[in-house]
Amino acid sequence: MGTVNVSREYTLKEKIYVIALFQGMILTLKRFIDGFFFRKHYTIMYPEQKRNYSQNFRGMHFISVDENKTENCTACYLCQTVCPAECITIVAEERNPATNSYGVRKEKRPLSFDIEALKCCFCGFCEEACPMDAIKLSRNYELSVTSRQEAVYDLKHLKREVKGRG
Amino acid sequence: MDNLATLNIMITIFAVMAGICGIVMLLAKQPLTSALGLLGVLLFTAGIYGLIGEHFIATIQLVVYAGAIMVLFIFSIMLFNLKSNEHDARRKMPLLIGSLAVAGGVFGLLVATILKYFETPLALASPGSFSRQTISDLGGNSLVLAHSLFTQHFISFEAISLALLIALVGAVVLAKRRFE
Amino acid sequence: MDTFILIEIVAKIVFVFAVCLGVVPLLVWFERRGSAWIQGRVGPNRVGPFGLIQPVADVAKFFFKEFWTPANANKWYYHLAPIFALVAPMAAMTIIPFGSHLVIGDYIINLQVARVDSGVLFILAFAGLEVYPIIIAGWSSNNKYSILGALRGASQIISYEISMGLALLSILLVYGTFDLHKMVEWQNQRFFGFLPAWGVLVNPIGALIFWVSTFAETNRLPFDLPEGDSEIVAGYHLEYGAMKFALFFMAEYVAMIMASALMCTLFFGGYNLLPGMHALVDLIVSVHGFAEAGRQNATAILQFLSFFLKVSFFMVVMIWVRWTLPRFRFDQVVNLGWKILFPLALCNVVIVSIVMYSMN
Repeated sequence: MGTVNVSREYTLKEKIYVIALFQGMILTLKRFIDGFFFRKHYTIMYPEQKRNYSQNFRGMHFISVDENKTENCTACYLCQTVCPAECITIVAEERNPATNSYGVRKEKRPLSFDIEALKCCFCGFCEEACPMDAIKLSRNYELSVTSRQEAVYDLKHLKREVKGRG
Repeated sequence: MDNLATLNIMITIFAVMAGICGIVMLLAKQPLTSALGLLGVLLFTAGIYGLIGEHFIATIQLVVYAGAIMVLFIFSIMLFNLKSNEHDARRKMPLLIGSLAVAGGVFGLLVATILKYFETPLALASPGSFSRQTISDLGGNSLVLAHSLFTQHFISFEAISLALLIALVGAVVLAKRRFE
Repeated sequence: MDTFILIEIVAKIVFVFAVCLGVVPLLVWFERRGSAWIQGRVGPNRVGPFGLIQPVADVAKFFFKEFWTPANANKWYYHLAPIFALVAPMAAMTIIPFGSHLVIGDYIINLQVARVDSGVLFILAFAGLEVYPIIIAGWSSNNKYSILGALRGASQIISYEISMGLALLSILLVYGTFDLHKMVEWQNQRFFGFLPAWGVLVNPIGALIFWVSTFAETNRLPFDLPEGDSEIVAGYHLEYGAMKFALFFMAEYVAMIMASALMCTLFFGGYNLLPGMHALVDLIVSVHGFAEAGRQNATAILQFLSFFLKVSFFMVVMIWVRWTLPRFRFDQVVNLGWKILFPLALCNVVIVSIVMYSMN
């Protein structure tokens, strides 16, 4: 078939152009009045207001804790293994048997748990792989940092109580 | 008299600047620098016209030369992206001396004429039917000029414009033949 | 030279330049805020009340940016162009009359910096000079986009200068003078006893052509091909940064003020009082019990006010048009200039001269 050329003849009214110009100017005047007198705008005033994202939004990770503020993570390395971006680094340690009130359920603990947020692709695989529901993705998207070093989050930053999802 | 002295100083400054621009124009290697030097000469000359009260001539100088002709020059220099040509830049000694002598002669003549009238007050130096007072009585420089152009010198005015038109058509014809 | 006259001249120059450069930040603010209102945005609203201090913050930023020159640019011309850009419209501002005259003691102060005999031609001369900074900047930056912008700017300004000159000619035929003061005085008369004799009523086609050409001369949006952000990045001032760019930016707005002031003076009654302001003058005089001189001074101040209001209106229209119309294609610009405006202006001149001849 190819392209079909449609010839477009302009009418006199369109050729004069001034009429269309004034129509356009009246339209922008209406918009101006809307904006100036009625303060109509579609802008979200960002730091004060925030966009309401979906419940499924995947933002920055956190590690859930139980009622004793002990992390649920048992350093099983499943998240580190499944991570496609290889941004999770875990160093495991045995929990002190003397003070461990959890028994077998939390025998191991992560000595360090680093997530390099700059490498992360926020796919959520770690969340799905976790048998303890320890690592979760929050809805926090404000991740700006001033240096590369600050974008590496360790256990202290990640640990946080679960309050719903987000 | 104080006023006149200030005027003289200003005119001298403008004239020196115009002279410097002229030298820049002559000695510049880049064509654009030459063109801008010429523009400087025209601007400072217009400034001198304005200083001695001939606003109309100054304005016309700006409109015609600085505003139209020099723009055309610079536009064409830019369009063809002319670079400095080392071949032409080489000075030919006898030609240089000859042209310097001619230019020096004309300049000397000019200086002699100017110096002859330099100390004479302005009003005395410009006799004739149109003194400054009559012009302002008749309603300003441009009005008087327009009147004399369109009544007294009407034929010569039209003849000159015809000559310009002929030159324009001739230039187009020549350019056309060369490109075909 | 009399000391009083010297002070008077200096005061007038300072006043005109201060008003011009003081209006520029306000205009920039309005350009950004107004465009935001038109487009359903908010615009700069963080710095100061309503974001009014934003231009100051911008200037501070410009000052502290690095003064950087491209390696292969022609240094002399590169630095010359922004200066030239600001000087040309500023010089043209000197002959716009912004009021009739003030009376102080025995002195009469004309509210116009330079009363030049050939007023309109003077403005035309400096409008012609506005093309140089574009050419010089584009050429000296040594950048493809810059030189494309410069070529576009030069051809556009030269083309539209012709129709602008012809529109000026048609209105000059009506006034019969080059002097802007006399033009404004001519417009002070009334048609049928109530309609102000503004040039736009006498010569509407001339006013329209002049206004359109002014847009092209100042490179405002329907004709902003020399800048053409989406095609040639920023055109002739692409390689400029920091204060040198700010000078170009300021020059654009000063040229806008100049164009609006000229449009107002030639076609919209200049500094003549707006309808209804005469009553205000009478009121002020009767309240304060002014004599003749006081009345004249009050009138002059109100004249400046009405001139300012008129010029502001045209500047707002310029901004309004900018956020309404998209940019023309280059062939459309050239077509409009040479095939529509030029013949129209020529016809207009012929018609106006026939009418003027038959009326005399």
